[in-house]
Amino acid sequence: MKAHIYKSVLGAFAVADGKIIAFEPFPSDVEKIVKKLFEDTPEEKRIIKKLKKYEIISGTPPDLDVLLKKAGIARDEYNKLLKKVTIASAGTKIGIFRRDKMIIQAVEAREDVEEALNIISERIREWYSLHFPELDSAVYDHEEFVELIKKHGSKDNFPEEFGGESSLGADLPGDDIAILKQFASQIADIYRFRDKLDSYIESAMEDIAPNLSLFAGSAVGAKLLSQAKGLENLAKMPASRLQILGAQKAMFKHIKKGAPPPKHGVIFQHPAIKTAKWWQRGKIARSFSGKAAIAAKADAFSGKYIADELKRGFKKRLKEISEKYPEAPQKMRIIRYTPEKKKRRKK
Amino acid sequence: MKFKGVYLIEGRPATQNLTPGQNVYGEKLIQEGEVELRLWNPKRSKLAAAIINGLKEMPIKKNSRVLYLGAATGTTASHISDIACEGTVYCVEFSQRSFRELFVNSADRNNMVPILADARNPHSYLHLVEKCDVIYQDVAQVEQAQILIDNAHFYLKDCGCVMIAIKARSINSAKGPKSVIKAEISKLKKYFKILESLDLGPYEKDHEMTIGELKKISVR
Repeated sequence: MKAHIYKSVLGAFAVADGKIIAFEPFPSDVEKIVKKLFEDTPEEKRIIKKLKKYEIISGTPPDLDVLLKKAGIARDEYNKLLKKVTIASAGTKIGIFRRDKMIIQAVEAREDVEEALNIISERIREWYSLHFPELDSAVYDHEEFVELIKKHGSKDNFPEEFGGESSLGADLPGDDIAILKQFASQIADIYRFRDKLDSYIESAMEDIAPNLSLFAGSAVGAKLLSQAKGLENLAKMPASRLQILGAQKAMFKHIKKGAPPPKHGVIFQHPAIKTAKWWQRGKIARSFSGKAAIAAKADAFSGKYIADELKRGFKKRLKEISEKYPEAPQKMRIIRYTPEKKKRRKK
Repeated sequence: MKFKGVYLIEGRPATQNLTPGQNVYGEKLIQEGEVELRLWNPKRSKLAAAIINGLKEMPIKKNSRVLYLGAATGTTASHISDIACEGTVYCVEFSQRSFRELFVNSADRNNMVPILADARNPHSYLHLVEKCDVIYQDVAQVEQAQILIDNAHFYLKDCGCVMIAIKARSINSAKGPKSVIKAEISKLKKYFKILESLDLGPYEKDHEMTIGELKKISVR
């Protein structure tokens, strides 16, 4: 005779022919139930002992109403317990600290901060120009501009060479200078925070992905992590995918319309690719991503230190490429992409 | 009422609020006599879109047990919870971020059970979900059809029905959507008798809602 042992949040049941032949209830503690659902339990072992004459098989969930009747529990009460268990079980997965998730958010935060800084730096330039317009053209760097205002406030306090004395702008009373100084101070703080974000990302990357950080640099490495949505995801990707992470728009254009495929995505930001000669970029990107992918796999799975080897191999290949292809190809190929079939888009 | 539990207000579907006074995703609450209704937004819920587009078969009833794969934040699931007010909706969602909201949205609904799990692995919720009358699936995955078939094997009652939102772009973003959808439905035909299939436009692009009935074991 065949029996199926089924675990529910209420306990372990043995079911044969739709009837319950054994039941060992679980304690009512939610945390204990969560554990028991995913481990072998003494309740199950007790049932197996009782069912010596039966062949134990696996099966699909038995009728819940039958189980509830045996356990003597109403649906409503069962649902309440079940929900507590599912939420506690979810908590065990959600509540785990994972540094790669922190890095992904930090990278995106850094991009948001950069955007915000550009917007408000432009704003303070315009605003301060009511008072001291010449400073805007004199100082190119936003951070420097903001530090100067924070330090000096009114144009009268600036050193002579800035030309505050002969400025065309309006003189501002105390309160009005004060608000600008405060604005500048806030922006300066955000610039400093941006730098803190950078060091956080760098040290977090070195912590969880030492090979990738050493080979590709923590900045590029972090961006790759962010695109892949996690270290394990990144490690599971083929190198060809890593190569174009960040160039999805170009990639889909290639797939759907036959445009030339992108050679690189975020990895373009790495100096080895950014500063390379245009006809060598594709080959360099391919070699780079191959090794970066291996670095990621080592970081995610083996924990071994292989960055030096990878760097050596890459440098060797770089040399090869520059020796083999020193000159641009003779004819500059004009790439014109023709869509395979003309689609009329329905509006 | 178009179907039991689904009201129509000026052509737009609505469900009776299981938790009067509360809305889940900012939807409008309408008092219709003694009954409070929640307006169902077809742009946010594929099932609402299907109903507006003329859905004829609606297997979800008052006492249905429903397995909802891909519940996300629980927008559609909450309406199903309204309709199946004497049944249960088991909401399976994979994304931790969505689950946080799903948890909040199901907190006051005793018949809505949030489960953080991967629908591609039906084993992982074996101890939590019972055999259901309906499996509703809305997962944007390549293996959509196989996910439904695997889950039906575990969790669909013998006379049960399935409702699947097929997203052509998730299966193959390069091929024409009509042919992708046709291929997917033919995968399902082996296990399910197709009762109805309708396009969800203009509310969703290149999506199809397909309703099927589990075939008898001897026929599969």
